[in-house]
Amino acid sequence: MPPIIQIQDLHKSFGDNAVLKGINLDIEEGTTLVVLGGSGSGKTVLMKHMIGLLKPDRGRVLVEGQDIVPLDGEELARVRKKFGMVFQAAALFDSMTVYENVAFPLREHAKLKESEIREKVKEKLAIVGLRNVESKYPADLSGGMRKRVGLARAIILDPKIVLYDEPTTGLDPITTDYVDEMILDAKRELGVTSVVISHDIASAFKVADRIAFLSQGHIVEQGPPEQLRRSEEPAVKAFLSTWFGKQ
Amino acid sequence: MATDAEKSPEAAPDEPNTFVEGVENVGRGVINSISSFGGMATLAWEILRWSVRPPYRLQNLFAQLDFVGVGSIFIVCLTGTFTGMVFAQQSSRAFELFGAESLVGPTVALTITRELAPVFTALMVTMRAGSAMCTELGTMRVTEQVDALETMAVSPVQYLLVPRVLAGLIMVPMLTMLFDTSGMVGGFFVSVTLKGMSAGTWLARTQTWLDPEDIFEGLIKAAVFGFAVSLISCYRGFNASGGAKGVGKATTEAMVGSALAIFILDYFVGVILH
Amino acid sequence: MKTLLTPFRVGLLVLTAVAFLFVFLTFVKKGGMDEDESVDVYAYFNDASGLGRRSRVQIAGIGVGEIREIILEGNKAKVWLRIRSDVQVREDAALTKRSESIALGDYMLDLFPGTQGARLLKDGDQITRVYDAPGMQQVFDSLQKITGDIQEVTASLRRVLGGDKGTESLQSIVANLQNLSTSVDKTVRESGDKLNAILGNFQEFSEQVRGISRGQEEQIRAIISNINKITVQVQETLTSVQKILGSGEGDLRESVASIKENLNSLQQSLHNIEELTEQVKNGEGIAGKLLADERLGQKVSESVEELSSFSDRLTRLQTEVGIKSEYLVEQGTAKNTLSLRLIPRPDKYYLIEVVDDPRGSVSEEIVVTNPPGVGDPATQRRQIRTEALKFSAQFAKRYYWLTLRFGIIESTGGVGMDASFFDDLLTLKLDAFNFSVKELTYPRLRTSLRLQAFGHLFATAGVDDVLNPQTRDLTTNRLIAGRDYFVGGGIYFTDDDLKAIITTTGVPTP
Repeated sequence: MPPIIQIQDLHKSFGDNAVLKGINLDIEEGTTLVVLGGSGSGKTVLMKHMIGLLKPDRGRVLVEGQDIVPLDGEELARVRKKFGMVFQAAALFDSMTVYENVAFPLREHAKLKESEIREKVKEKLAIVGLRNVESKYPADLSGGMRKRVGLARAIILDPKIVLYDEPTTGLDPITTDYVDEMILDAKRELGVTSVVISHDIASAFKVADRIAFLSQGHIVEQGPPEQLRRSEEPAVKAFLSTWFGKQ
Repeated sequence: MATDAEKSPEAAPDEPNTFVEGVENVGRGVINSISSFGGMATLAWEILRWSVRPPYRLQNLFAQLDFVGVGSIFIVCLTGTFTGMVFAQQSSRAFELFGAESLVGPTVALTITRELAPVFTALMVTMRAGSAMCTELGTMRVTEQVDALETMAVSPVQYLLVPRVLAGLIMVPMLTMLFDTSGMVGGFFVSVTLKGMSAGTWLARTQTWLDPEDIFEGLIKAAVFGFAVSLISCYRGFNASGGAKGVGKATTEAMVGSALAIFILDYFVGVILH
Repeated sequence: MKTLLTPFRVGLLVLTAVAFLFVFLTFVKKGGMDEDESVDVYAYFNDASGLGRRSRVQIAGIGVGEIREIILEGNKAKVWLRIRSDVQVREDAALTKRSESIALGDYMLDLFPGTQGARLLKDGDQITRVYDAPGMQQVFDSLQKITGDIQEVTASLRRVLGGDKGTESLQSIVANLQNLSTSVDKTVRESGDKLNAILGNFQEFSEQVRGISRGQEEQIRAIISNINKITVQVQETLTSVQKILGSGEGDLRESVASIKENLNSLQQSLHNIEELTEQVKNGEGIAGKLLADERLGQKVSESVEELSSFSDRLTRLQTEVGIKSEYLVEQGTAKNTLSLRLIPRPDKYYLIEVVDDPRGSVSEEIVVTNPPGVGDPATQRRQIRTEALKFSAQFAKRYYWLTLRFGIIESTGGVGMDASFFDDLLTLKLDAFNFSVKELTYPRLRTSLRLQAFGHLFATAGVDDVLNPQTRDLTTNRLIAGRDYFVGGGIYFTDDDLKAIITTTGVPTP
């Protein structure tokens, strides 16, 4: 079975600033990949390529064997429905209630009756561990809860892949733990493929099946967490030492 | 199409030289407005393309029509009434000098319908609705709500921009009509009640001088302004970057750009129509 | 709820805006005639200044068309007009450029559509008669006005003199005329030389007028026809005067013998006028002066206008005469009032009343009680009640349904207030007067309801002297102060009624 996402020789620059310099990455279906890297290493740019938000200068992005780079409009939209994305700050529509936020993709893409929508929203909110928040507005929720609502919205169309953009950034340790649990829950209950972009080493080691380390536009190391810990790559060692060194 | 460019930090000059900085700012402003003109044209084309494609998001459109139009009724009527009153007051003073007070009505009517109503209405809409549009879109952009829309396979242009620009295009002429009416009422009130002119003369003279073309000219201008103002506000907000500060900057640019666009377009539309 | 409300509000705004637009467009719509409902003709003007696209074309002050286009052709302005097709524009039509107002430089065109019998103009035809010298036009305008006024005067004169009742007034007129003719005779004799000189001047002037009036035959012809009409009327009048005089009594005949002579000479002068008009037609004679003297014409027409506005004011004054009788319940007798109401404006009137009040009026008298010569005279004040008539004279001003009155009420100062309801069918009246009379504790306050019925009848009921306790004259047991109730009614007539009454009863009218 081929990997669900294959990235081949991906290059991307903004002006003179080359951000990605030949990325090759395979993501197996049903696994959780964490792309680890420092700030400005191009993690977010890499993720945006996976869902077609950015077009590469060179290289291919295959989703279930289909190259999405040349796609546009309707075809790209069809590919995007395979993804659910959880944004760093949740990116909930703050003019809508939690219920409306979670129901939004359903209303846009599925022709369902209101009662069916209500049922699905309730189900997904239960999966992410939320109850009785439907009528609240995003501004009334805590950061961790907002992220859970973001996940509920991301999985409402039952996607195959969920992308997490820096899910634990800026959260306190307890909330970080809460979000990590959420990612593990989603994988366990839905069996989805997860791609997590993070610079949080602890969180990465907790949720990842595999970790890819991104530095200076290259993937310098990838493999299971244990392999990364033993890595002799200087960039990896330097990065990990900031955390493991303290222990 | 959504580019998240402008990540490159701006090269700040080492020495604080206010003069050079000032000139640079002017130059950057000019370059910026030229390059953004291209961006706006592209965006306008996108909006046009998306506005004719289903699904038609009527609920969003109505929400914007309500916000831009209904929400501006009070301020537009108020501005209109006082503009008419001030204009009648001042022009009657001038016309009194050579005993032609009967021209006050036509003067008020013509200036309001042809110039003041579309320009002031567009300025009011810019201040009230344009700024809100820009801030809202800018906030959505920097909090990744725009990206979220896109990842959910919903076109942000269609979902967010089309209703706003259409609302500007439709509602500014409507509001201009209200401005016309309230301005005439204000002018009539000052001329007849306070200045003691004959109501009959006022109306008859106005009727003689005012042509349907004058009203239509104002409405065409209003439609152009409404489109331009909402397009500029949307463009600035949609392309905002850099957090709350970036949104603020975008809003300022949108306001200045809209106001300039109104006055510049006023001239060109006037030239084209005649 | 919200999804329903928002489109509703938006729709309401759109409908309002569209309604305003519609109102505006209806308001500014003028002319804009369809091609198939109008005739397009053109005319050449030496001077089209002040004319523009959409300038009005009118007949007798009523718009019948507009200017479509003005083009320069050679050194003349070719003006295209669109005239309503129900106005039949004929070959001998004439256009006159006229200033719309003095202060502003805009002009309009007066159209004389032409005379019956001339060929009708079609699309693309030319109106050849164009008068664009504004000065002359004003002269003609005022002259035509004057002749019109003279016509009216002679007509009314004839009406006055024509009836049998005129004989009496004629006698005095005749006497006046006799005096007048004597003095005129004298004046003429004394200032013959001066007149001759003036006549000489006129003749000279007429030479110049001949030049001016060339090309204006149309107007002159109209004026002359008017003058002709006048002379005919004057002749008729004079004939009837002669008839009256001829059939009069002997002494009258004698006293008017000289008038007859004068009449003959008048006829002679009428003959002269006829001659004169002949001359005017040829641009000669004294009347030419009138044609050219713009200022004279204006003055005459101004004074005529003044006169007519004055008479307007007189005719606008409405008069109402009424009589009212009210039964006073406590008093046991009736109170009668005769009233005259002068109404110069609908919201203002003067009310003059004569009141016969059984309470009478109170006056004070100092009476010396002890016989003369015994000590100091002891004086005593005594109130005398006389059954004198009382007068009211009030000024009233009306604001919407409320009328405020003040002035003299029943011979004392007072104020009043009327509130009218149901188109003045029901009126609540409140009067307060007698503020300073000693025998009353409080001012006399009267309130009543007045109900209008059958146009000229009304009924009233109310309470008089509401505040004061009843006081009766000991000797006559008459109520002299205090609360009383009254019911009554009355009738009133307006000018129009009076006119009708007077004519049917044969009172001579002036």
